[in-house]
Amino acid sequence: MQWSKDTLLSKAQLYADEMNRFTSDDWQFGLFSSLSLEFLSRAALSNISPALLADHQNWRNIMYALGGAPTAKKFSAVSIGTKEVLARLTELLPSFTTEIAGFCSKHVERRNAELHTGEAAFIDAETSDWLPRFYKACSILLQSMEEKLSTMMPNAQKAQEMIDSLDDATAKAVEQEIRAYAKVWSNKSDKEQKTATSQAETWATRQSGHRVNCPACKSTALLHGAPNGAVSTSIGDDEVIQRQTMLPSAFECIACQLKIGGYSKLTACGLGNVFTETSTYTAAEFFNLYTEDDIESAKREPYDYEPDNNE
Amino acid sequence: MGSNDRATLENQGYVLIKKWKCGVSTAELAEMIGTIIDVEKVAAGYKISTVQTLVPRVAKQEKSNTYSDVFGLSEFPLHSDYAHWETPPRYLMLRCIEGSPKVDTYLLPTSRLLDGNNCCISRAVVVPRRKHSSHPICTFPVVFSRQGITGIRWDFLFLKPVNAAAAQTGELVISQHNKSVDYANLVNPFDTLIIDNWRTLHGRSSVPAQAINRRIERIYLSYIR
Repeated sequence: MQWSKDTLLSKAQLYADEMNRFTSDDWQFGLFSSLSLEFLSRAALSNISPALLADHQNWRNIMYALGGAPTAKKFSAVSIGTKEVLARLTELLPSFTTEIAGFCSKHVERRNAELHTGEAAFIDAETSDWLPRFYKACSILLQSMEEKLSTMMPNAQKAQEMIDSLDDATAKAVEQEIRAYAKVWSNKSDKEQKTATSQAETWATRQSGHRVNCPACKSTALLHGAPNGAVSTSIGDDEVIQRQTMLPSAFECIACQLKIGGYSKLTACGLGNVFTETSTYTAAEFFNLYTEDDIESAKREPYDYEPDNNE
Repeated sequence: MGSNDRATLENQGYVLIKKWKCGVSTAELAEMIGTIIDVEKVAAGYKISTVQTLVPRVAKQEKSNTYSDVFGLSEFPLHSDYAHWETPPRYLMLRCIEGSPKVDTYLLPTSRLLDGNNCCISRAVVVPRRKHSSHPICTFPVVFSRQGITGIRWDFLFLKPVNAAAAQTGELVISQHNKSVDYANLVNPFDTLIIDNWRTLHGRSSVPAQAINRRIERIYLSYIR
């Protein structure tokens, strides 16, 4: 039956699969997440009763939800809108708070904007704003159906880390730390600041990591991360490009010496956006082929032939 | 049903009881031990009897919707019965009318699939291969839960994988079949095999010429006391 919890949950799983085929800075990542969340919400409501999904304007919708065969010609069952689904869940599931419902509603509005207008609703959205809350909403809805986060997300552990970061009160203390470093920085002379900023710029160019502005001194600093999600590979004529989403794990600024460790602290100070690490390889490097240089150097190697005495 | 047999069914996912209640018909026995699923009513229009008689037969060339017609005398792959139903029948009972030691019933407790492999099976999604004339096609998760029991629906023939996790599940089923499947033989009349269709996949070995007269009766139950 189209409104059964299993069927709706399986659709949520499929759209979560699609979401995870993209890296977090692709707009498709956000769009598929919103579609997945809608199916998951409907599955959670159906789990209480499929009849709760029926649009009560027509009693035959309720009959359909109860498993009855249609009794009118050209009948097509109609379900309630997503906003109403969320409103009913808020009332029926104690763990589905108004705060979570509010996030889901906003995420659905982004989906509507994406699909019905020219607005690029997901390109602009910062993942640190919505992704942990998305995972939290999914977790609550799945738990209401006695399912785990791993039922939908291959990277359930990382998703849980993001959920935990929302509640990490100690992370909020990082703001004070940043203010302290900013004060020390402001006490430096202009010349010292300029030198340190320039050194930081050079250092950040040479080191691997994601370049960001330091929240304390605004110099160029580096964000390091841990791999999160599938690697996407695109193969061109002469090069292979691989991209992978990275979950921020550590921040370092050599200009003011500020260091921040842990995703929850990074999120608390606005550095929690997942970023994409891009690696470019030549075809020879990626497929471990012999290059022309390898062949030439092999040709130049002296061989140990036995003397040819023409005998 | 004795408490030992009940416990075996609960722990193992299937139980074979040799020469059980001789003389009692399949329908009567099912009535004694639990609640019968009246397939004639549940799947009205499919012309399926509540007690079905399974006999080996040669595969048909034309498209069919039964394992016998598709696989004939060859091996039946591991599957759960009526996997395309929203809730597959909980139990199937196979009762030997005329048996053979040459034909094995394969049994794979789904715990061997779920242990350590949750990452793919829990996300696996399948869809019926055939469109029903009056029902839209709906996707199903391979893993489902009812009344606190985790079940697996799997049917290589009638369900097709929709995502990578389901394709991996198919490979896992095949590899577990090769590595760790159990066997049961219905040899004597009234030998009875009860399978928990939610927690055990089953299949059948190929049927040699000597076993061509093998006859098994099958009935489904939703509950066993």
